[in-house]
Amino acid sequence: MQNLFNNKKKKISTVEEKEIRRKLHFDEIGVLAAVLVMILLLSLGSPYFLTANNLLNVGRQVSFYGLLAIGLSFVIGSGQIDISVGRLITLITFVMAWLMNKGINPWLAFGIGIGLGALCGLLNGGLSLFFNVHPMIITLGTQNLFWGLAVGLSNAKPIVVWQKSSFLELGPGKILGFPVPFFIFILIALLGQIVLKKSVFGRHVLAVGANRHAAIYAGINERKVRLATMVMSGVVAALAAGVILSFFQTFDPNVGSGMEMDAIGAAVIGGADLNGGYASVLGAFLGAFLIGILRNGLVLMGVGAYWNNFVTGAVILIAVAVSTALKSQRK
Amino acid sequence: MPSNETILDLENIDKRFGGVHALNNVSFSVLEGEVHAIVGENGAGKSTLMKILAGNYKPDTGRILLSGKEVEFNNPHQAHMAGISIIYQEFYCFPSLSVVANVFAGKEIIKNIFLDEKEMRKRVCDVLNRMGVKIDPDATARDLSVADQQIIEIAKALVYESKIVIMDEPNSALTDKETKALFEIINRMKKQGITILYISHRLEEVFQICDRITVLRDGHFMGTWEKTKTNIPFIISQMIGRKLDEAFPKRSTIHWEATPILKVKNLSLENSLDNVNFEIRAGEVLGFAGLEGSGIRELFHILFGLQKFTSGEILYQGNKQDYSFSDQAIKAGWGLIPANRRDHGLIMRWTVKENITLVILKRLLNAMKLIRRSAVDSVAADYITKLRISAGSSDKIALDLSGGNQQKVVISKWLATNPRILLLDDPTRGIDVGAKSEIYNLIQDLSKQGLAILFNSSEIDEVIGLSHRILVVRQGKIIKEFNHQEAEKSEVLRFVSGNFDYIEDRKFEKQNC
Repeated sequence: MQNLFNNKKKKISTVEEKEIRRKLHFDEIGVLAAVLVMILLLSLGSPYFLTANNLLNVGRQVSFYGLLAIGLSFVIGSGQIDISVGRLITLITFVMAWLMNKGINPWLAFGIGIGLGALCGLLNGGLSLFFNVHPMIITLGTQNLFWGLAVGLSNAKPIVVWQKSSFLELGPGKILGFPVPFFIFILIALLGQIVLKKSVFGRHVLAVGANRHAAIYAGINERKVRLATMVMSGVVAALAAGVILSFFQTFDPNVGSGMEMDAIGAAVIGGADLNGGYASVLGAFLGAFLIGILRNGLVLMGVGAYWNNFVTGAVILIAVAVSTALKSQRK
Repeated sequence: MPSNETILDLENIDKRFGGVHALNNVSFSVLEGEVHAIVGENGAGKSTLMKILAGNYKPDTGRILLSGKEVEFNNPHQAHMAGISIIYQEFYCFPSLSVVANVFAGKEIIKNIFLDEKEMRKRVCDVLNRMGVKIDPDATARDLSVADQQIIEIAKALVYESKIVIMDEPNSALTDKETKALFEIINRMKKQGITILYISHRLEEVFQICDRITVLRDGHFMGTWEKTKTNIPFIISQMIGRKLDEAFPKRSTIHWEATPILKVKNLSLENSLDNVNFEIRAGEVLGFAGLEGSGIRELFHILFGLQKFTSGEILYQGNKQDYSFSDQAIKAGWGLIPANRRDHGLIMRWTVKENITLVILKRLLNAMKLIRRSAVDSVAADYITKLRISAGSSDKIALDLSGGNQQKVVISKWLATNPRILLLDDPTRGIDVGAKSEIYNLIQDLSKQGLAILFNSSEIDEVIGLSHRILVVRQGKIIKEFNHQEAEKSEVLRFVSGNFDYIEDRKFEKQNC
């Protein structure tokens, strides 16, 4: 005990601190702290905020763009970006709803949607590799492609899915007390975190993002890795589209719009380095939550929608600044 | 010529970084107009000292006297204004800008509100003439050779009429010929009364170009000696605190009758390699000598599966080899230590252990196919001990290690793959004497263990001292083979430089000045 006390009093040098951080896997401690502080502040602001019901509700709301943030963690970690995912959701939600209303089994329609997501991801990654153009530009293009296709084919009209199916009953339901979208979000986030931090593929993704040349010299086929992350991003977007459709039972031509920005925000708040080489699914999970509770809390406190955007934007900037500062300390 | 006036006095300079005593009470003087070498192993405090002079750091205690007057620099700009310029080992140019724009980057001359292009161009031409070099001031920096880019760095210092120019390993990226040209520039600068502080690992060159030599060891000042009154072995002993008996360790013996592990037949690559033929046996160190751009790098890349070849045949362990990517080469037992440690060899932001295990991750998985942390730790710990990497901890970031230790991490990464054949592309570039000699020993140990080693170095002495046989490559052709017994440095050099030594053949003959 004596010893412990002495250690605490001693000023810990940055090197030791870095090692402690690594040992405890606490790279995300900054975001976690931000989430906790925000919960504290918002619960002071509104008595309704800190209730299980409300928090689960927030969990469901964040799960849509939160899922995107998981795919984007891999994309950003590998040194790329994908801004087409929001509009990809619009397209795939439409395709799934349209197929279902043609009488196709909703689970099959969901499967086709996932396949389409993979294909669109392949398109994004493939074009970027083939033309050697930054994925930012490619996905800026495909974003419009996907959206144009969705509103063109649907005439920008909503589609209500009329089939009865276990797929459509799933969305509004609960598993282990969690709303299904939230449950899936947690599940995929756990899986994503393990793959990113513990698997060879994850390590290769971060190697490619940190130093593409060194990766090539180490026998890592960086083109394959980059392509794979873009495909993952497409698949995860399709998964999110399925969850959305299962929950709302309706295709809305505006669905997904702007979600990519919330997702990128969540990933970056969670520590993802837009230059590549670092990302954290756990961080992105917490980042998504931070954005979600903030929006929710401000609504509960009676802040109007316009000012809500302003405050959310400001908090995102502050969170990114703090996270960057912590990261530079870590390095 | 050096006068007897001191231009720079350092008095009791002391600097600590946390627990590290980087400079311990260092005092010495520099004479006006001399070329003064600062030598020492990595971590001896050379860079810290130079950064103090350049205004990047402030000393904890001690005084700096410039021409007898005490000065204090709070930032690089103040040092610059006082007449001290520094040319870093890793310099940065703006590749898309012209030579003139590069020289004046950030310090443009302005007339009214516009850039005074004419005046800037005139000054650049003046300086280039004074240096005696032919570089087109309107050329775009990216079209210049590394050597010429370095000259631009020096021109920057001269344009501002710096009295003291610090050069940090200025020739680490230059060929022998370019180094020779650099030395001519240094001599001209000296004649014009400019004082040069020259930091280098290459003692031969230090003795060639410098008037006096100051040695630092572990942050301590060991002494300043006049070149004419000392010699290389003595300076080395001062640097490392012991004597190096023999620079190069004994070679292994090879069974020459054994079948070669690798046969290369008529290998050609457009514009790079022309009908290259050679063989190498297990346990052999095959040296490659050639200038930058001779094609050796391309040859290594082809063998490692990073580049396709146009025609010819590679027979590795009796089988034809035509890899589409380096992962196949690695599986077959190849390893490549690339020349550019910083950009190709390491992920600088990663830890030592993450770097060491990057290539062999697939061997370190548990039943769930996830990376076993304990396996990573133990592999890293193993190589840290074996290669005596002084990192403190395997969790240290590669960027924070000295050059020699970084290179040991790169070598560890490849040894961990249990290679049969290693390509070493200039493995001792920019590392200190102690680490160099450890790498020499390692190369001989590996060859004794039966590895075939293809070894290229920008230092001819190393190629001759370490290899069993030496192949001289010039313009993509193997023009001469030496046995190590018969290899004389001057003779090898004659072939490397193609007989017509040191004739100007700069890329930009055109001069608009």
